[in-house]
Amino acid sequence: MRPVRLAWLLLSTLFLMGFPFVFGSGGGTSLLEQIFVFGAFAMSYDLLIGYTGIVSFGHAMFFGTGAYAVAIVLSKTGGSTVGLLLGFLIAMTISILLSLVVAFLSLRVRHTYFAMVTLAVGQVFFVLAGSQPLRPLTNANDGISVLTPVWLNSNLAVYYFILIFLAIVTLFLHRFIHSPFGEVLRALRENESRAKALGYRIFHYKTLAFLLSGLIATLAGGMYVVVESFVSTSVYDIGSVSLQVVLMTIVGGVGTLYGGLIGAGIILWLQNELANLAGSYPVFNHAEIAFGVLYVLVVRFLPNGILGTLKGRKGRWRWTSQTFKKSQT
Amino acid sequence: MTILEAIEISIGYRGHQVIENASLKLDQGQFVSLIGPNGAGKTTLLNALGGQLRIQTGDIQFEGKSIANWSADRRARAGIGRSFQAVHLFPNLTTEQNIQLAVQAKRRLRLHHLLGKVDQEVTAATRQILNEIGLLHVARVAAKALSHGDKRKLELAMLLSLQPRVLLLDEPTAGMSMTETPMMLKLIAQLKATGHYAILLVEHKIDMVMQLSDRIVVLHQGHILAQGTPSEVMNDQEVTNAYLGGHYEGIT
Ligand SMILES: Nc1ncnc2c1ncn2[C@@H]1O[C@H](COP(=O)(O)OP(=O)(O)OP(=O)(O)O)[C@@H](O)[C@H]1O
Ligand SMILES: [Mg+2]
Repeated sequence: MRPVRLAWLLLSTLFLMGFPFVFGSGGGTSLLEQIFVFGAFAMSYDLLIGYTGIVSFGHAMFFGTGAYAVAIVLSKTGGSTVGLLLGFLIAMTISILLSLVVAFLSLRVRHTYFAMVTLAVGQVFFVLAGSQPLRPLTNANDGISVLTPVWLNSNLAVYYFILIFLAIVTLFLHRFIHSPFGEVLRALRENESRAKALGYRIFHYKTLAFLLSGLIATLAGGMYVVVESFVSTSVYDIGSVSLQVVLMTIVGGVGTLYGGLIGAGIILWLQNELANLAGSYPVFNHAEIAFGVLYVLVVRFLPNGILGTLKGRKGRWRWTSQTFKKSQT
Repeated sequence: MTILEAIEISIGYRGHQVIENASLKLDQGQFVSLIGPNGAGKTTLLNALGGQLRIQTGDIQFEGKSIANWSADRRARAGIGRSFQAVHLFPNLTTEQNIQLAVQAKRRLRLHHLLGKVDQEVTAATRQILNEIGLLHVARVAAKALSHGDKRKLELAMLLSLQPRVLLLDEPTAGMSMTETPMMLKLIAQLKATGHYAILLVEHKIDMVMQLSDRIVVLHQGHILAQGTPSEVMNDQEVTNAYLGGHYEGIT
């Protein structure tokens, strides 16, 4: 690892670890918790859109399923540690099955079709979560308040729990995209028919990417419950989850991995500020408008997102310095 | 011994018939050229053999087995390698990554690769190929930033990394400059000399075709007009009339 990058990593780790001590466990810390959860979620999404080149409009199906599975099991087990573990295990099992089913239904055909199917499946979950017949399980539109295990009762404990989760997810994804598998996924994004002509089983690789992406999104959903101690149908919402994650990834930079984290940070922070402003100026109740404007601005002026633009500058500089050297010899 | 065979195949795009009842045979170690005017259907025929296109009637056999229903990736794994008329690379990946992907394709990825690194043998093989083909100095350059000649070389290097038994080459010198072309000709001649490959070459450069081919197949408006040794084909009255117009220097 280059010294600059190592220094950045150390600094940000120290900053995040020390944050609650310096700023207390109030608003800033709980905003960070949300950013960690959605950052992991957005990074999982980048695995699809940025590294494999497939677009899903229903990533909330995983996030929501993770949240509901953990919430339901926790509430049925009275908030025990075993319940928490079991909830995550069940969530992961459902997530794997779900991604396999959706993949078999739609990943073999055109990508536009896949995007539509994910949109529809996501909506099905939204309706199911709010439906009356399932009330004994989901509490329908009223949502579920959950008790978390005792060791997670302090704000500080939750904060570090989520931070560790984020660190593990980041490490996992970092290793994965730099593995031989990650390279094949990038090849698919670049030129699918060429990868096929080399002998790669395209469908298997896409399914794997979708499965892993879904699994991490599911875990992020479960973590959301740990943070909020509450779940409602909003975790399946298209606008505030499925499309939000697209926006986070685009703002941060598609295909940059950490961009998702940056995007999540900016959008959640903005959302928070707007909500505060809305207290005194009701105009700011319509945060979606601000996000619409943000989206247009980013696509127009920073098509590679924030991190993508920064990386691109560096990349271009390196490339020109190399060609310069070559032309000299 | 025949390794790849097209038996009376027909192909069309949405009703309009491009190849009709074409049969073609490629023997082990043989060098066959497919020639014909623009739009004759040469690329289409190669796409059918490589699995990029489905045939409507007839059959395609590889080592005596029907492979008409095999996908392109399965055919590649079985040993049918395909190069493309238009440059067809992973543009934003480096030269090295492009070749590495081709080297990796033959081997199965296993669970430990999920979070691991590329195998040492793969990187070593990649380096060796880069060196042999003369692309080591641009190993870290994105494929899209290479010169056209280097892109063509890279394409061929990727194809050879698959260790195929059949090479389907679609105008490997297309778009190459006067200085780059001889290098590609030499490479192809070397490939032939190894005797490892059955080669089907689509090419407009008649001199090259005459020199290298064991057999020549002439395609004209989707039909096979003639096939035989270079001298047989050149003396064929039908070919002379329909395609060569009496003097073959005219076509390049
Ligand atoms: N994707 C396609 N859709 C419809 N028609 C096509 C398609 N590809 C090729 N064709 C038509 O099929 C015919 C044969 O095309 P093909 O590319 O196989 O010719 P070719 O012999 O390779 O020509 P060239 O020497 O120019 O490469 C042409 O008439 C072409 O217009
Ligand atoms: Mg052609």
